[in-house]
Amino acid sequence: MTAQTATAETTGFNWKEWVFTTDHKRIGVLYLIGSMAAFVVAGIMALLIRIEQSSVGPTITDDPAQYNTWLYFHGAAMILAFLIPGLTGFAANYFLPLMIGAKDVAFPRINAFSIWLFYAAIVLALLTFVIPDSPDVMWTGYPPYSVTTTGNTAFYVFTVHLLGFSSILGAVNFLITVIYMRAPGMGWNQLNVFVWTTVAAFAIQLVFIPVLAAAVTMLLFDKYLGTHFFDAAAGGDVLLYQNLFWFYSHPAVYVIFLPAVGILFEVFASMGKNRIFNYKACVYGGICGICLITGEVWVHHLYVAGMPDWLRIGQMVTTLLISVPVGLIVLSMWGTLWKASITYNVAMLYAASCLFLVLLGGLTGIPLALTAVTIHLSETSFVHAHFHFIMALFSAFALFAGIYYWFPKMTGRSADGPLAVFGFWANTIGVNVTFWPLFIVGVEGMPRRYWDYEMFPQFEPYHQVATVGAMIIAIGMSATILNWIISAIRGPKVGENPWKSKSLEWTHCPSPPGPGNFPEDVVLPEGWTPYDYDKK
Amino acid sequence: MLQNKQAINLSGAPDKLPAGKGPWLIAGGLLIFAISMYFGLIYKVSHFGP
Repeated sequence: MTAQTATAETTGFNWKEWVFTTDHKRIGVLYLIGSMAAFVVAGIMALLIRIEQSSVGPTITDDPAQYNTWLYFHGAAMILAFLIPGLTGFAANYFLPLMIGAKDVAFPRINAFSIWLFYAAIVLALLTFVIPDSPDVMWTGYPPYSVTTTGNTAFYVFTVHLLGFSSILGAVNFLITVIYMRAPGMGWNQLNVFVWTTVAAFAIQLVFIPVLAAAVTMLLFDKYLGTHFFDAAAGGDVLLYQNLFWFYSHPAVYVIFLPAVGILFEVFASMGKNRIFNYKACVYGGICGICLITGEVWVHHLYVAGMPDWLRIGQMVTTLLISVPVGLIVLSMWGTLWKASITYNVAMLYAASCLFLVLLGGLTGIPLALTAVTIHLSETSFVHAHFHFIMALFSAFALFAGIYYWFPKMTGRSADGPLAVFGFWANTIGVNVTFWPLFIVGVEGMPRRYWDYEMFPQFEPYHQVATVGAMIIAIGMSATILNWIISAIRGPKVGENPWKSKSLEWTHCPSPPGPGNFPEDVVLPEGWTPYDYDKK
Repeated sequence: MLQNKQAINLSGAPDKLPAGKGPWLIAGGLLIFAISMYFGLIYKVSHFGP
């Protein structure tokens, strides 16, 4: 093994190696650290929100603006700084080049620039806790409130700009990487499903992020430069912002959902030792299908905002239509597990629980897609619980499955053990205890985002149960993160391919991989696939 | 030490970028597309009206 392709064992920690690295794996680890830091802070905000809601009247703050700041940071950080960077930043950076047999990404320096844009955004977001007049515009930034508030909306806008620019550079980089840097002989039908889902997510980012960036730029102009893009009194259109925002932000759901799905396929195939069921239908019908119609579903976020019926009905149809490609993907997942010899380790436990989460989140999405029903449910806790199941919990659990699955690849050690299992069960129980009561009070009319609910005192017990659930999640996540840190330092060493996977990142490079990734040039035998398990 | 130098400079980077102008043209085209979307949308919205 040459020095260029040695394993990642180095002669000690050198901070310059990390600060100035262009190695996709180290950049992936930096994304993981940054996104988990955002997750922890945003999770603390969630806990504060739930504690505040645990009783009618002020509980831990009597300042609604403070509560709004918690909501802002929780939403913005969880979506923009945890889920998207965790899935398309960490997982794609570390594993996509390994899966296609590449030594790095196509433009390593631009990749390094992307990570530092991301960290600049994280710093900017964290500064909201120390500046006077913190942003209080949720993650949506709807005018007219975001224009008239005394909160510092500019921090929100510049955070979105930095993250957006980082994502666009990443999208260009990874699309070129997959197009041009696959191992010789690796065709499009031989790519890991995770590679396909990541390509789809980056394509969506590239098309839709400029729309969000333009929308928040106009918001900035309205607030600070006196323009009237969204000021109805001066001839602007306040609903235009909502349309532009959701034109990006609904596709952003798939930017999160798709790589999460990709991770699950890798775990299911490896732990079940099965080929992907209906690979082509899953890839071309499911993943590409979502890409094609993702831009046609944003209006269901605005059903009650005021719009012509013909548009509502049309968008109801397209919103329901997207369940077809999603259905193809879910069918492939179940098919991949059919008659499989499943190893139930912690990665598989998280992945299996995602099947429940996607089912629950998907089924509760159907009434929200129906115009007649959603008029009743809009802006209630039902929506809040629904999108947490389908987007936040599903994707976070899939990411955790991926971390456990690839932990031996990244560290050479296993993270499975009693603490990991405890963390899994605490998280699983916690999320259900937290969000089921919110479905119930949502149907009964509990509004979202309210600081207090004096007018609905009958909901107090439900909120208290949800708060207990949030505390269980906090315990579970503390155990999980502690387990990762301990395991990375002194977890049991495992072989280079403990799961006996057929995918390139396991079969062709050491654990952890060194610079250059592969000791030798990757040569694929004819008919190779990453899921080349014996047919059942 | 070689590893460390590589980590600082071009650790793991490919020996050379993919051959030809293709990658650069596609990457440049995608970036121009994104930038055009951004400015084009602001321009278009600023000209909305009766």
